[in-house]
Amino acid sequence: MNLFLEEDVPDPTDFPPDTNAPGLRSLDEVLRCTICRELFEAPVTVNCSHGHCFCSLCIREQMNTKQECPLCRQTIAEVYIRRNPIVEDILGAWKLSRPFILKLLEERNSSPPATPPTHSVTLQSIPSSLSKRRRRMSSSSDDEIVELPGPSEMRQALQKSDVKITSSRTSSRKPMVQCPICRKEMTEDIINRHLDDNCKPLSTIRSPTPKKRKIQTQEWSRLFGNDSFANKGKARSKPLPELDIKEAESLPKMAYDTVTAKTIRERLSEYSLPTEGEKPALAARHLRWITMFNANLDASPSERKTLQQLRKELRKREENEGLQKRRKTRPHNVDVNVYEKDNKLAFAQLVEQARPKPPSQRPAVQASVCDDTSILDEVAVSDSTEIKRTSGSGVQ
Amino acid sequence: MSTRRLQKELLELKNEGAPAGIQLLKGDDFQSWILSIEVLGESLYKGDKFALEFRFDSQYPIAPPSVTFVVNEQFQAPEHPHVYSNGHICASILANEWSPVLTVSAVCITLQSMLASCKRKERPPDNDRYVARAPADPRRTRWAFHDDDV
Repeated sequence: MNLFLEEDVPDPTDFPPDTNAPGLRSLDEVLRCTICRELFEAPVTVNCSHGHCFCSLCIREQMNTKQECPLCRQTIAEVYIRRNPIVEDILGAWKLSRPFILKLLEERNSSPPATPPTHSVTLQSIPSSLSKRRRRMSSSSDDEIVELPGPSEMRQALQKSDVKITSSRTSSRKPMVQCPICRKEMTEDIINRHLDDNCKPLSTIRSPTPKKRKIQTQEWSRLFGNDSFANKGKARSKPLPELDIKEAESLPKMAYDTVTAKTIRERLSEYSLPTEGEKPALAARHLRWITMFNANLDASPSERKTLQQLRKELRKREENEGLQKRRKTRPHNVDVNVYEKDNKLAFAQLVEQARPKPPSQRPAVQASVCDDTSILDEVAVSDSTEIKRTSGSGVQ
Repeated sequence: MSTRRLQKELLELKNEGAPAGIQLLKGDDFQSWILSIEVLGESLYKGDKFALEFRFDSQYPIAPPSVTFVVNEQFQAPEHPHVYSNGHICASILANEWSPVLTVSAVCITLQSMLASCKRKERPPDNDRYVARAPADPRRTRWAFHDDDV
């Protein structure tokens, strides 16, 4: 029956109840986000009076629809979301010790209680003696603590060295100054641009090269709203240089109602995101990107995902949704046909009523029209009664 | 997120059992589950068994599931002032008061207590009008909630 239960899901019930292993099950339970039921990822505290804690991504997604704490319904605001580094550290340790403790428990259950001296020996032999379920179990929880995969690590290392090279190269020639706002050291020639960009991370700014100058003029032209500064006919926004996620700052939200699809496309292309689709799809993608990006910043720098990983995740989620939507629309179409068949008689009557009639029958027709409008009135007035309905909902 | 979360809920229902009076009838995919619900103790619905259908989309649990009473040869929608004869339920937690920390079993318990506290078996006053035009998915209905007692 349960094909999809094959994949093992780590869960507090992996631990025996309190009578056998006091506190372990509840420990695993309190370290889980109440929204996704996973161990907290980038835990944050919201500004309700209880200081409730969620995964950053979970609560940020929820707050895109509603500004209230899911647990106590108090009004909260996104600007007051604060990282919870201690919980994050606890989780780091728990993710390491969880499979280990499970192994120990397994061992305690499988070996007779009268053999404590052989403790260390049995410990080593456990992996082979584990049940299939446990083995899968521990491997899947290992997944949770797996560090960044190789390629992305290399990429980060590359980025870092890149920054170092530029700074060492420039520092040999130019005097260093300190930013009065963020206190970072940098060369004289980039400080102005750094300040103009609200203390953008250094990695994205280098001394102005011809290419950079072009971007600058593009930004000026964006400011003035015309193309006179930029090269006409060419795409105006290019992907920004890949920024170091460890020094990134949170992205502002956008008022999608007031901007055009073109503007959203530009913003998307700055982060090398796909720009196909209509405006609603673009806006949804941009909002999701910003949510994921900002949530990622609530993890400690060493735990953060790279932009590449984030992009991959975004694509995966869009694909998932596409699948679901297609699945949904199919029965929907059938519904319309069935509806048409079921109501054939009613439709025929309505068509008959709508046909022009000789003058003698007109009063009857008007009466039926009146009936209809009175129903509409009722629907419109029914705020105070049980329900309101969206117009035209009856057709679906 | 939706599938992982549903996996966990299913696991919990199986390992620890559903709450009293509630039983999982169908839960073999991530699109729709069916649970049976009975009101225990003295109530207007004593001895009756109803079935609830939960339909999930990829936004779950950020978005609420679509929850209706099953109406077919085997099951009927309970006669209740907040339950329409097509199985749609007028309950705030399934609409604007949904919270992502709620679960399938929490929704079942809430509906169970809604039935248990019922004083008079009757359909909503606008039942016929609503049922004639109701959308297939009750989440598309804009509900107005007025009864704070239940």
